[in-house]
Amino acid sequence: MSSESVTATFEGNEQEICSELFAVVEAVSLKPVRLTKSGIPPKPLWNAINQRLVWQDPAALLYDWEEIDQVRFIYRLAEALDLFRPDADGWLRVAPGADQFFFAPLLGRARMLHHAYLRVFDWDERCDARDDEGHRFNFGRAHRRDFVHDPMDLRLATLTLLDELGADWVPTAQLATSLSTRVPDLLSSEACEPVATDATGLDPEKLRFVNYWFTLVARFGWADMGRLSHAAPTARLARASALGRALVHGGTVSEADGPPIEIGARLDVRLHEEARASDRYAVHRLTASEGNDLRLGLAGIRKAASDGADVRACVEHIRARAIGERDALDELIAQALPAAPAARIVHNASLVELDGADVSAAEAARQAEVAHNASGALAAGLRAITFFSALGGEPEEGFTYPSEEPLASLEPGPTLTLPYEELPLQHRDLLVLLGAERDCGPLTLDAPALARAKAAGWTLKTLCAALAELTQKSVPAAIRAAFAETLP
Amino acid sequence: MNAPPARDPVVHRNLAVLEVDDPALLDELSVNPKVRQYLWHRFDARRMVIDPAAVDRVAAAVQGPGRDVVTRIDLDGAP
Repeated sequence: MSSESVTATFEGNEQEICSELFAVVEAVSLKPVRLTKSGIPPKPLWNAINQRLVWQDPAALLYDWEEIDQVRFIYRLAEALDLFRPDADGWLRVAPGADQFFFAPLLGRARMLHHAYLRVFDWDERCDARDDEGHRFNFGRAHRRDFVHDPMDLRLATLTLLDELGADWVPTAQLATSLSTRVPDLLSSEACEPVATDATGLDPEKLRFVNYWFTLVARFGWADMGRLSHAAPTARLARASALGRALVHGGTVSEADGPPIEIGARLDVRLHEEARASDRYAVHRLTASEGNDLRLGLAGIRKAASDGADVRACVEHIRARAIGERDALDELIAQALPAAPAARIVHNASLVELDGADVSAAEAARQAEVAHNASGALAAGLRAITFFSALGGEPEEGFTYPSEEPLASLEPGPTLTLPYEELPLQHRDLLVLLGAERDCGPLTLDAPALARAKAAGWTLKTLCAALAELTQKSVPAAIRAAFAETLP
Repeated sequence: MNAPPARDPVVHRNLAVLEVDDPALLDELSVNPKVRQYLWHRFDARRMVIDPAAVDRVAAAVQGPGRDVVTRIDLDGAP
């Protein structure tokens, strides 16, 4: 297809989704925000986010969380990326995932976005459609959430369309037919009639959905959309962007420089209107406590550090992107960053237990350069995503902490029963000390087991606290009394 | 004798890790009753998986004169 005849192109731009994700971070950190009792954000936050979006929800819809698809999508995507999270009291805070995402290289961000997009919950592409009057007009016409395929299955199936694309334009009708052939009931509910297709095998509803879906991934920067000058409005074209091709097929892709961060003599910062989202984020993270002044200073850096920011990553990002008074910036960095910290805390880590017999998993760990030993590989942030990719996908079996379900139960005896086939990592060393092996059986907490715990420094108080966390119940008084015979 | 079949990998997500250069620091922490219950698993000499909800308490126990604790976005990957 000649590219000259293609008009009205919508070039994918990864900065668009990054800017909208930054909008969530900015809105969360403007003033203290606490989740409501039902676990959703309060309405003022919906407004604050919506005002900052390119793709906004109509103001008339800002009364019902279920109705505001644009805000809910970007909020849930930001949540899946761990850009923010609630603290123990429900107050939303910028989270470690924000540093991990915004300071990742372009392709790394795309991988993290891909990983998070698959895991967005409480939002479904099939429900993100409205007719000309603004009424909900679901793809497939199924009642929301009654679909045969869950959102992750839908996304996995649809993402394979990117595999079919290269740098040349392809009609979305061809892609919709391919999707229709592979997963005919993708948009169907269990109560739906069989999907009707035309003579070419095309389901018009799939075409409407595919056209919509490519506008979504163009916002991620993974694809471009276009139209032939003489064709009907629904006859659209799609192609994979350089970033989309690198994401799907591997390879490298470089990021445009964008306007630099200007640093003034008093370490005041000027951001260009077209500044990269990562520049905005880095400056925001270090100056959020300074009110409206974008000025770098020790107080802001110390506040960011106490809020759990990786300030080294922030200042290194700013330094790499800055023009102007770099000497003053270097002086500030030397003052603000400890030369050799004794310890580092890394969040959002994943540990994959490796079977010694599985040579390929160990090789994947080596390839991804993650910390590993004979029994497991430990990685965080982007490196974890890279490791999962080398492993052939994130393992399905596993635990997420804190666990919503109890990881153990305590019976008279006293016996500790572990309900899952695999040992949890929470209090793993204690469980092993008490006699647990990888094939979990009940553990009798007898005097020898308690003596081993005592020798390792466990006390009555700390052991009972650990068991209470695993069982999500206080240790019964009678069992506690029995433990007291051995433990101090 | 045939080797037992490889087991499906199991993943543990949303962990916090304390990483140090001097393993003695983790040894010291392991016998500190104030934080004993937050130390979940000694992964290797330099890394300890800790309770993600108790990061501040563990950091407070490590901090002292000349002993800074910082947040990092990535583990260093070295043994």
